[in-house]
Amino acid sequence: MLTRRNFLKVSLGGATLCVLDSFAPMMSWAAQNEPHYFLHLIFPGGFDCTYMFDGRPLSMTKAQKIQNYSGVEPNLWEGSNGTSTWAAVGTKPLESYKNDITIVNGVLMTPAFDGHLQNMNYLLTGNPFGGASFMPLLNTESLPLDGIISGDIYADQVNFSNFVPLTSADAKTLVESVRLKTPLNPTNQVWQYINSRYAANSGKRSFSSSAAKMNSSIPSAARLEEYIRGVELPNSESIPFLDVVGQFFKKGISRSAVISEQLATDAHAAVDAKKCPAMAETIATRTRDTINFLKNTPYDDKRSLFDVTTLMVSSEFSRTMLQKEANFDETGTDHNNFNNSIILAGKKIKMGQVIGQSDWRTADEALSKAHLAMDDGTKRLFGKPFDFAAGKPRADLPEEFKIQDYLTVGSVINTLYSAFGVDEKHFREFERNGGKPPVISQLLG
Amino acid sequence: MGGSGEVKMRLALALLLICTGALGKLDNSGEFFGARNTNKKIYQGLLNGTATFQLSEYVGSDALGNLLGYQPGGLDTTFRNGIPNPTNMMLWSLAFEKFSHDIGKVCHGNSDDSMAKQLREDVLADVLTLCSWPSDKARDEELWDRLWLYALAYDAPESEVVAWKTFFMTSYEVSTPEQLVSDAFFSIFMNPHYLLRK
Repeated sequence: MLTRRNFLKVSLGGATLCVLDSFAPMMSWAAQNEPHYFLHLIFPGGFDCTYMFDGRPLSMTKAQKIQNYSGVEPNLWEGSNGTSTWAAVGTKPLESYKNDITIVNGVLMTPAFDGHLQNMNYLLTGNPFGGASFMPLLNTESLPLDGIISGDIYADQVNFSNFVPLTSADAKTLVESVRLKTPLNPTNQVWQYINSRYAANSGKRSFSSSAAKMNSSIPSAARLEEYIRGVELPNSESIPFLDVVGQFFKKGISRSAVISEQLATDAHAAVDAKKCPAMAETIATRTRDTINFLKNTPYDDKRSLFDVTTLMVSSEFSRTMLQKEANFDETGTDHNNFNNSIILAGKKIKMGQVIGQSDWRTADEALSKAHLAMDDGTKRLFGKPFDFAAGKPRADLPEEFKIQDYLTVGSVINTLYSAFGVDEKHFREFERNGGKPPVISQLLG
Repeated sequence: MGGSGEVKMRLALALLLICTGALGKLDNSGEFFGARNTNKKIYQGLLNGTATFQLSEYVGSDALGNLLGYQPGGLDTTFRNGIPNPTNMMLWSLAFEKFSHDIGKVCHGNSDDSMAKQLREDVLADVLTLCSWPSDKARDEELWDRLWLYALAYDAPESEVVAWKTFFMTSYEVSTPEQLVSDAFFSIFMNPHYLLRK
């Protein structure tokens, strides 16, 4: 029953959570001297992974189970760990990069919502309604910026204030302006006075906590200035954003970078679904070009940027096999939050593998009751249950849906946390105190 | 508890959650005023009607100005980039260092000076008096109070102006007038009461 006492408990508990949430990124992290950066290519809208590394044989299209507008038979792509998948036509640009990437398939997003915002929130924060994003948590306090971002992400991330939106042109202007500026010296008398005012006004309320942030930002701002002065960007009109990312990583300015590219991936209409093969190729091309850039850019005299950067390529979910209400030859696709495919590469990732798998691999496959409890069995590919000890998809068909049986995006993020040495107390949890999604140890090299 | 009491309690909880959500979106206290509003504040307090000053030019570009906080416009009511971080603190310092330096140059007494032409008449007169530092006239507390009020009005507590005056009166004895004027304005502009909403 809802009593006055319970009412207060709920309200105050909620209020405390809000406060704790916003302070989460300020917690101390183990010092990390080994260079490790994170680059995230995001393609919002939900791209159809069946045109990428979660393809299906044309026999299933013939049986009208899943539409494939490319009409091209996918190739078997075998991971070095014994798990395989079908690489669809869109993956051609990555054909010779098998040992440079690992595919994580059959990834469940939030089982409760199929909206873009909720699933993007779930991907980035672990909560369909938003919260602390995982990327700022990858930063140790030693780097001035949590990250830089090109493009927009629509998500509710409460700890994104040290993630700076930047274009290549702005980065160039910034470098030029900072070079002309007198260096910010926190120890000179006027800055000491200004800092004393920040300190005098610091506290825990909205104004005073910002004054505290101003105070704590000054040493980092001074370092940021110094590092930015050292940034060397090409002297051309148009600079690829990757060049900015490379410089910001090499100079130790930013821990992470996000490149968010809007393609028409949200293919509800047949006309858009028909463009998915070409869009998949665009995504694979961007991934290949990014890997090439990282490999060809020296970090120091021994290592390339690829050696010190973890790359992730993702969207908020994959898509349905078809739309039941549409004619099969003119079908679009809807959101599928029960399956996603993520590409990982670079530092700390054991590459060349295929981790996880989705079901509906043949036209007559028997589906689990767990799958059928969440979907009528005609629209959605579903991540298969996963054996975390063996690092392989399970063959059994669960009777009921339990999120702990599956490879979720929470496991992918916890694996990244583990790779970056993030304190376990920040690891994601399943909803409603269901424990922590296990780290996929086989992913780490 | 009876049924109607529980209904009321649930309604109250729902209202609280709705209000908290709404306030969360609308209340930007503790965030920067942003480049555009700060530009207005500068005009309101210090510059005359013919001034051409634009804060974003001092930062480098409009887009970089957005990193100091901005309202995207249209249906998007979210104020963005308003929370202090190393980047925006560096940019505020970049912009205000240049602006304060330009105000300090007024001490050269060149009537063609661009900033001298842009300052309000009363502000310019008081800045020129301050340029006689360390004369007695330049140490007049009323002069310092006026300079503070031009920029900040009554947006900061008394303790702030006291701290500001004390610092400059005691620490800038051997400073050049130009340096004093520049640093005095710079420290006002970088004050949290100048930059942050309350």
